[in-house]
Amino acid sequence: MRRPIDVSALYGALDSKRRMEDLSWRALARELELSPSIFTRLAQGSEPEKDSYFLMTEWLGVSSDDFVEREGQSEERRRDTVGEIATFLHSDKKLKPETAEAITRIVEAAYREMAEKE
Amino acid sequence: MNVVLPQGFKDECEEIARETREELGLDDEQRFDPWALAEFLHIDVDSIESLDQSTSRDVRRLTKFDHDRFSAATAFCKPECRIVFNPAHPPARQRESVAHELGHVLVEHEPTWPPFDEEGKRFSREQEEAEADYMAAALLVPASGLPAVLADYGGDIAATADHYGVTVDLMRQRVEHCCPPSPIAVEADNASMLMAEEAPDQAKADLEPGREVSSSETAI
Repeated sequence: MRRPIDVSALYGALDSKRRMEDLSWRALARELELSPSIFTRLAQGSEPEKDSYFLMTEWLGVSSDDFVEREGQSEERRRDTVGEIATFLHSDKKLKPETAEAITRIVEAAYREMAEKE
Repeated sequence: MNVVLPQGFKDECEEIARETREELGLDDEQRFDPWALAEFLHIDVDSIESLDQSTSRDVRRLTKFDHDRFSAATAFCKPECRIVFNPAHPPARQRESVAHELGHVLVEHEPTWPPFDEEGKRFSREQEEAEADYMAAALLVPASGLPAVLADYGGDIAATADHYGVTVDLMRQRVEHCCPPSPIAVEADNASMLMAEEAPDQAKADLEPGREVSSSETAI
């Protein structure tokens, strides 16, 4: 049975290297001849297809075993990594303070539910 | 405040929209479903009413009393994200709001925190908002498909808006941007410009390409 990939570590490694090389995700996708949507799905925690995964590890210059999870590692990682909160907001620019507070709490609740799911 | 989109940005958005529609199996004359794109990208999209009970008062405020102030947000538990939207708005506006949030993701904006300063004033990100607006508009109403669809509806903007599932406001802006006047109309305009001896400079300025546009104009 195929072991799961540590998607979070893979995404982090790709993100670091593409930033160092000043590449957007879209430019990286072009370079690897992949669809840019693969990287969005990767950010969402979805495993890439085998062929895409090999292209990514090749670009990173690492072994394809490097992101394969050890037994029990997945649970351990979930406990250790809670992402940082951030947002895009589509609202009026001028808001009453209580409306701004309500929006902030809504975004925090959406974040909390995602973090708890990890 | 006036917002000028970077050189080439609009063409890039149209190209991203074309590629995205292709991945979803849509041509440029079909209605685009932002929820289908979110599903394709594995991004959850939920109404704010689906959030946990602790937010019920805030949800009531944003859907009943201040319902016009908040459209949608993308919450990041980096790098993962989730879109929440205001269900109190009409369907066309909801589609535009969700497409706007996906627009931020597609043009790779960096999300931030906190969204407001200590006095509750929103941090200004007008450039990014205008860019996400344009990306959303290109997804919903592609420049390459609009002229043919508009012609099919005999130039009826409301019917074309209904076809693409967007607001008449957005459609009006897209028509202005994507459907330049026909050569016959331009010839007529040129003729009237030659006759406009009283204010020739103003007439020329009206036709000047690449002029600065206001944020509302850019949001197409």
